[in-house]
Amino acid sequence: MNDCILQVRDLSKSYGAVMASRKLCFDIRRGEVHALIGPNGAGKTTAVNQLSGEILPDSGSILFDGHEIARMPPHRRARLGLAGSFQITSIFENLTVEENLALAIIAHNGHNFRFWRNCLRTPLVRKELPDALARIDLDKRAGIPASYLSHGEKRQLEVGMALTCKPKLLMLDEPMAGMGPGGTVEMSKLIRRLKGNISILLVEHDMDAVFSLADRITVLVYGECVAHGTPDEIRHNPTVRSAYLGEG
Amino acid sequence: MMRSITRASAITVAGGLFFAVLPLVATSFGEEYFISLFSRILIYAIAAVSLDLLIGYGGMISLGHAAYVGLGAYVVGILYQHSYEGQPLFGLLPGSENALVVWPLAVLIAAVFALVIGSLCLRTSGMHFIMITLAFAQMLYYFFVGLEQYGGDDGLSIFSRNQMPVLDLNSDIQFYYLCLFFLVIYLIFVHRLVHSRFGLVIRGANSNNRRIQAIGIHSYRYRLVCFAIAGAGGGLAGALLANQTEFVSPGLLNWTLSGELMVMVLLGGLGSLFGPVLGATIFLLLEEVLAMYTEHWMVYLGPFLVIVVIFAKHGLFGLLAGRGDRNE
Amino acid sequence: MLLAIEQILNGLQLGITLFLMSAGLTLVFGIMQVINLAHGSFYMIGAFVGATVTARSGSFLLGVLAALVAAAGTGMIVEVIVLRRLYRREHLDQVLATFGLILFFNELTRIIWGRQPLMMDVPAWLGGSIELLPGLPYPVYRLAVIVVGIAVALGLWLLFARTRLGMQIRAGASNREMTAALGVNIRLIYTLVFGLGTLLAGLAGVMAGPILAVESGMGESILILTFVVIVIGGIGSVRGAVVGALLVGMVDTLGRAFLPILFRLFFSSASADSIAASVASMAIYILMAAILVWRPRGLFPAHSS
Repeated sequence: MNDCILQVRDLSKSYGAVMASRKLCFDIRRGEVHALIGPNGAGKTTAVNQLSGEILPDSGSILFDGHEIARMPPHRRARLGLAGSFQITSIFENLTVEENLALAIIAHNGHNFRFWRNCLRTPLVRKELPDALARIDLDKRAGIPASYLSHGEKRQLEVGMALTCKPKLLMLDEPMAGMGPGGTVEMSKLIRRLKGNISILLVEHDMDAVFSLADRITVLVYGECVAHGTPDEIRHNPTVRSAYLGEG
Repeated sequence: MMRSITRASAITVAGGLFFAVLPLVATSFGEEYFISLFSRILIYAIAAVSLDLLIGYGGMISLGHAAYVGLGAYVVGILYQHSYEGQPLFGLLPGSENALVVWPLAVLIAAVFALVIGSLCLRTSGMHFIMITLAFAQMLYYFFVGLEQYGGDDGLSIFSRNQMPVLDLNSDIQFYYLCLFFLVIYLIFVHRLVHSRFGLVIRGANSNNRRIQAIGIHSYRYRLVCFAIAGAGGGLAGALLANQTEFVSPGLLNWTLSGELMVMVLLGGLGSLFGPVLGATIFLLLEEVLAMYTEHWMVYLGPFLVIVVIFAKHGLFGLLAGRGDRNE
Repeated sequence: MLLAIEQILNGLQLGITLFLMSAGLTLVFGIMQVINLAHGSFYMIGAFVGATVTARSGSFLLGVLAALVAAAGTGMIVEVIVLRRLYRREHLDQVLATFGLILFFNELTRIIWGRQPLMMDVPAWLGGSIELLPGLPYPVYRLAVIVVGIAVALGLWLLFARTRLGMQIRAGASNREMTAALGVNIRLIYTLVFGLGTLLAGLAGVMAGPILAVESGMGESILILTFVVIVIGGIGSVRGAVVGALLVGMVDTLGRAFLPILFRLFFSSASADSIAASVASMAIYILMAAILVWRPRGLFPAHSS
C-alpha cells in the first residue's frame, strides 16, 4: 500500500452522453516513471485534469500520498506535492526565465506579502535558483524574457517550475509534443535524471520515448483502463495491439 | 538589452534634474506660473503612477481610479471646512488643517475604500471588471454631488493650504518641492514593490493567472492588496491636489478624470515607472498649449488618441527608451 | 397609491430607454467582444440631429428618421474606420481608443451646436395626457415611448429567433472563423450589428430629447446606467438586457420618488431629503453590488465565454 504514491479508484467523468472517464483504476509506485497511453480521444487529458484539479470527477477516489484529493482545488493539491505541466505550454511569458523559476520557488514558501526586497536577492531564491536553473540546463538563459525561448526550452522551463516545489509526483502531459528530435533527446535526458528521486506520470504519444523511459504503462481506450504492465508486457498485449493497430 | 536599460535610466535622470531645477529657472525668468502648473503635473504624475501599477503591472484595467483621488481631496476639504467653521464632524471629530493629520487620513480612507470596492470588483475580470470599477466610481461621484453641506455639485473651497511644521505650504515653491519629494518617494516605493516577491506575484498573475493558481498562489488576495496600494497613491494625489487648487469638487471623481489618467499612462508607456510621469507632463502641457490656440482642442486630442492606440502601442517612453516589449 | 402607479410607469419608461441602449451595447460586447465606451455618443448624436431636424422641419417623425439615419450611419463609419482594428486587441486598447472617440464627439457637438443645451418639444400629436385610471393622468408621450420600446423588443426577438440574418449573427458570435469559412460575410455582419446597436442608441436619444436636456456629454450619464444594466443582466444577453433595464429603471425611479418619504420618517426634514437624494442616486449601484456577490456573471450570462 505504502509504496504507491497515487491510487486512482473508479474515477468517472461524463460530459452529457459522453463518458470521458469510466471507472479508471491505476496505481503509481513511488519513484517510478508511469506512462499513460492510448489512442486519440481515449481520455488521457481528462484523466490528468482530474488529477490536477482542473476538473472535478463525477465519482471515484484519488488517493495521493495517503490524502483523498478528488475534490480538492488545484492550489491545495500543489501544496501537497502534486505538480504538473500543462498540455499547452503555460509559463509566464512576460517574465524572464529566472523570474519564472523564482515565482515557482516563492510560491511554496509561505505568504508573499513582502514589498521591499528585490525578490531575486532574497536568501531563499538565491539558494534555490541556481539549482533550479541547472536542473533544466537553462543557466545561460536566465535573464531572457520567457517569450524569447524556443518551444523546447519553454517546455523545459515549465518542467523546471514544476520541480521547484520538490513535488512527490510530477505529471507531464505530452512533454515531447511539438519538439524536434533535439528537444526530445533533451527532455528524455531530463526525465531520466529525475527518475527515482520523484515519481512521474507521463502522458505521451511518442512511443519510442514511452517505451524507453517508462517503468510501467497503463493503457486507456475510450476512457477505460484496458491494460497495465511493464513495457514488455504491454508490447505483447493483444488488446492493446488491436486498440492501436485495429483488428488483427 | 543593456542599451535600453541605460537609455531608460538616462531619461529618468534627465527628467529628475529637469523637475529639480524648474522652479529656480522659472523664478529667474519671472514666470512663477510654471511652478504652479508643474506642481499640478507632479500631482497628476503620482496618480498616474498609481494607476500604472494597477494597469501596466497588474493588468487590472480600472476605469474608476479617479474615485480615490476624489476621496483624498474630499478628506482634506471636509476636515478643513469643519476646522474653519469650528463644528466637529458628526458632532465628535474636530476638523483639522494639519497636514500631518489630514494627509495620512486621506491616504488611509482612500485605501480602505479601494479595499472594499476592490473586493467586489476583483471577483470579476475582463469587460465586467472594467465596467464595475467605473460603476462604483460613479456611485461615489453621485454621493458627493448629493452632499449639499459640502458644496454638492458646486464644490468646496478651502481658503488656505494645510499647515505643516517647518514648511509653509502657501508658498508655491515650497509646495512644489514637497510634491516632488512625494513623487520621488512614491516612485522609489513602487520600483521596490514591483521587484519584490509581492510584485513578482502580481506580474505573474497578470501574465498567466491560471498558472499562478496552479502553483499554489491565490492571486485574488495579492491583487486586492495591489488595488488598495494603488488607491492609497490616488488618495495622496487627491490630498495634494486639494491643496494645490484650494478647491474640491465632485468632478474629481468623474470618469473623465479616470479616462485622462489612463491617457497619461498610455502616452507615457504602460508598465514603466517614469512613463506615467512623462505622460502626465505631456498631457497637461498639451492641454495648456492647445487651449491657447483653440478652445476646442479636444476635437484633435480624440483622434490623436485613437491613432496612438492603434499604431504606437508602447507610448513615448517605449519609443524613446527603445523597448519593443512591455517588459521591465 | 396613484403616485406609485405613476412612478412605476416612469420607471418603465426609463427602463425602456435603458433597454434600447443596452440591447445594442450587449450585442456588441457579446458578439464582437469589444468594449465600446463611445456608445453614449450615438445616443447624443440621435438627440442632437433629431432635435435640429424637428425644429427646422416641424415634423417630429422626420426628426426621428434623421436621428436614426445619423446614428446608424455614423456608427457604421466608426466601425469601419476605428472599431475594426480593435477586435483582436486587448480591452485596454479598446477602452482608450473609444475614450478618444468620446472626446472627439463631445467636442464636435460643442463646435457645431455650441455649449447651450437644445430644447426639444414634445410633438403636438403626442402631447397632453390621457387618464389611465380615474385621477391618474399620464403623459401620452411617455406612453408612446413605452409602446415603441416594447415593439422594438419584439422586433429584436423576431430578428434573432426567426430570421436567417439573425441566425448568421448568432453563429458569428460563437465561432467567427467557422462562420466565415461557411461563406458568410462576417465583416459585413459585424458592421450591420454595430449599426443596429447605434441605431437603437440613436432612437433612445431622440426619444429622450423632449424629456431630458440635449447637451454635449449627455451620452455618458446614460452610458454608466447602461453598463450597470449589462452587468446585472449579463454580457451578451438581450434577455438580460430586458430584465436588467427594467430592474434598474424601476429601482432608480422608485428610489428617488419614495426614499425621501421613507427617510422623513426617521430624520428631520432637511437632512432627510439630502441623505435620501444621495442614497437614491446610489441605489442602483448597491443593487449591482448585491447581484454581483450572488451572481458574478450577471443574471442571464450568455453561454459563449
